[in-house]
Amino acid sequence: MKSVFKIIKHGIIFFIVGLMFLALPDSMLAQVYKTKHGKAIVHSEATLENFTGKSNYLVGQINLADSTVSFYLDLSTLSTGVELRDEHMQEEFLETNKYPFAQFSGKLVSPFNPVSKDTQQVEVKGRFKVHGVSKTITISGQMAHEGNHLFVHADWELQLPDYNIKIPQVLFMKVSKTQQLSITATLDEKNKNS
Amino acid sequence: MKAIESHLKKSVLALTVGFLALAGSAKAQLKPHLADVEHPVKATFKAPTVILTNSVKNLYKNTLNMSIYHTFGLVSSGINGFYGLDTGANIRLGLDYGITDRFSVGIGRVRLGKIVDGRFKYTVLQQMRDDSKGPLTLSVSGDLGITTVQQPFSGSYTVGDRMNYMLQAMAARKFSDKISLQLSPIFAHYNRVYPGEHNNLFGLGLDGRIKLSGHTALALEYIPVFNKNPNTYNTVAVAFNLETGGHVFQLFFTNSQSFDQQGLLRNTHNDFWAGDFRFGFNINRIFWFNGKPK
Repeated sequence: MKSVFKIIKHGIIFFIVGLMFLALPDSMLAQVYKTKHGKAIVHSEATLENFTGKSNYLVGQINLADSTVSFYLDLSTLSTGVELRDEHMQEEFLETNKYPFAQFSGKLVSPFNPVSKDTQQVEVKGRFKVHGVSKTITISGQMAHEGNHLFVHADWELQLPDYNIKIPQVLFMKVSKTQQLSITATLDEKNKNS
Repeated sequence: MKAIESHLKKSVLALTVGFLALAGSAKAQLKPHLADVEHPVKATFKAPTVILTNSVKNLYKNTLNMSIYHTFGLVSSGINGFYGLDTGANIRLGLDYGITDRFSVGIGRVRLGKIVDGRFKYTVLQQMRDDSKGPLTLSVSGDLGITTVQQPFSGSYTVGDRMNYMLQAMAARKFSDKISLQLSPIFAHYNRVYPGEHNNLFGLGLDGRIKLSGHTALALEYIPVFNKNPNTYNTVAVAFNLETGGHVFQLFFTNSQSFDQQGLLRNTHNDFWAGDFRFGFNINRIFWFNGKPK
């Protein structure tokens, strides 16, 4: 019987410690950085036709305390400069009505020294989801910490077939199966309440 | 007793781990929201025409649509007329240009009647992804046609006599990725008509589109005319649409021989339901002149 009480006691201590963990990242380790206006670029290079889609509505959050990295993009904000092409991209390939977002959520897997002002090579690993298909990927990029800001840049390639994005055979528009993606963002330090 | 102990131990541990995981995950992954920009509903229809009537779809700014509309003779002419390919062809060549994303102008020429026409389309209201911001798309279009055949009437035939006008209001809603419907009252006026014909004609365009795949669709069109001219019928058209990125092909069967909407109200002399329909096709080729991302 005594041991049961002991376990309950331990349990309560565990619980309180747990609660403290809950509170900790907000109050003490204010190391959350956010942006709503990061830049996202998609570049397609095919014979005879290259095009670039851009958006300034990349939303992201990086938490240096627990190394989590999370980004998403409203795909209907991607513009290639030709409305007809945008309409096509959103209607036929990305199907933005069904799958409005591209999302990444993962963790920093390389060390990052926030005290240094130098641009550092970093690696993140996590789930990238677009067109309803989610895959684990590792992306290398650069990150720099200066004042209240965190600068981030990364390039990687996306294979359209991996995400079940089909290019119709009859399409006269030339779209490459390999799309070059890049993001550039400045994240600002945020408290939990802001 | 031991069993209870281990059970308690486990549940306490699970609870704590659960709490920690919750704390972690709540912060790690952002819940996505649509960006704070306008989200117009795109591609209610792919081409500026559903089949024969104008659609709410306008040309984007700085795009040029070159169109060829073509119909043959009646399929019911049988093997003698090679199912309509031998005779009765009509063709309209047209150019339309988007001045803004909401306003376009165009010119065209129709073979039958040697009609030269100018037209415009203006998008008044745009359907938005958020219904409260715009539940449907509303466009108006107008057309001025001039018949340039030499002498269809006896006696004097002035420039004024040759003119005809059309005004159409199109209301459409894209109900899902697959289904779009359009309702459009059409008014046409001819300055001079044959005895027994009406100068003013009123019709209603009923249109629907069902997508079969990403780039193919089936379209239906029915245009009842409320004050029909003698020996005319309501226009019916059934089309298969194929879109390729810069082209929209529309292959259709219809009982009408006209492409201008004035003519659709005035001149449809065949009865679709009696099997008197013809084969036709529209080709829309869209060119764009800007290319820099915003």
